[in-house]
Amino acid sequence: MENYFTTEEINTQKSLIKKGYFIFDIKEKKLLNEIRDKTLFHVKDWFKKRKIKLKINTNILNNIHKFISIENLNSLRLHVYNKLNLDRKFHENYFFIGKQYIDILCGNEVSMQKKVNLSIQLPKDDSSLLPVHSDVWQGDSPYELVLWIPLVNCAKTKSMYILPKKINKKFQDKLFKYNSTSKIFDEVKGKVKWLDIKYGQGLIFTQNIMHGNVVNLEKTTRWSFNCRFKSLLSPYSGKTIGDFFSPITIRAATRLGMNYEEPKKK
Amino acid sequence: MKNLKKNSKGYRGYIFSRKIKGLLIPQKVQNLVIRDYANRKKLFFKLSKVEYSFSGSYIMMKSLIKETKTLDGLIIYSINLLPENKSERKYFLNSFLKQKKKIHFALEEIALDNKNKIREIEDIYFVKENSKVI
Repeated sequence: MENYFTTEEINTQKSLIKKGYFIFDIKEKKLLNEIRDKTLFHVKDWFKKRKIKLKINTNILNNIHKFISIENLNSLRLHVYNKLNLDRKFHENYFFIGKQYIDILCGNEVSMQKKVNLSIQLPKDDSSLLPVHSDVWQGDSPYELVLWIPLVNCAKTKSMYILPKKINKKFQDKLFKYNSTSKIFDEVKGKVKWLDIKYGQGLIFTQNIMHGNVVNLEKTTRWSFNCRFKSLLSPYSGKTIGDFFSPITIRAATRLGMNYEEPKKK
Repeated sequence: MKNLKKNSKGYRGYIFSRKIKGLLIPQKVQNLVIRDYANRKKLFFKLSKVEYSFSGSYIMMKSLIKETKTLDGLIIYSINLLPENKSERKYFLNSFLKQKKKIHFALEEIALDNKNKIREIEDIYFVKENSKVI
């Protein structure tokens, strides 16, 4: 079987298949800045409703833990999440930030998760953790990829970790032996790869490999978005088209096929 | 809701990511049924645990037993989510009842708060298993 790919396509795909993730520099910086500015606007709005004047600057996201308690964090998160997800331009910008690589890795006809998730992790906050897991175990299709975009520089415990693909298989098979992922994490915590991703970079990873986060032990707050993409006509699992995914790039040939009618006897 | 939060440890939801008796019920729908039930019964609902999709897995259900102390109880989407193996099923239900926690089944609108009610759950489970839907 032939693979007619360009050198860039071959290298990008090799990276994802070998490591389970791919980090890229965002070329569409303007779109990313627009997303950050909209986020800041909604953050300011949340504080304003509580009669708290917040001086907005680009570093406020890193330092938001100085202005909000853990008890109020989910309210802020949901406010920003809901406002952003009502905005079609936000979805469009999010897609175009990663489009070049989504096209290469998923295909050029894709469906996109209807709501882009927002994660805010304050330093030392243990209320919003995602223990080691693989989303495919809980109803996601193994054909999905996640586009993860931070609004602040993320490294070490402020970021997320992923198991090196080489050891993932060995440890995921222990799930039935241990009946728990926490025991798996105890065994692999020294072996996980912490992803160092700066503002201006994006990450695409497969959910087939175990990943997660721990309590943020760094001094600043993490703000990151994640959203799933998949090839439009690849197999779906528990999260289906319409309820969870929305088709965003149906091309002409597919539309022609969808609307094709055989000759009818009159 | 604020008062519910203050006075309650909360009820953890439990849903499936695999087929339930041959039907794939979207997680969103399972959660909607649970959320609606919790609202009507004025229970403080905590985000659902999603059982793994592998056939016969009850790993998440077992992890709930360890979490019992931090909860008022569970809201399970349906009786159909209980383990097929009878002794496993009873072990799970008894583990919660022993610690004086309630288990609610949202679809059937049944609350299990004492051992005598296990029989009712078992009867329904048996009929669901052995009757034909036409």
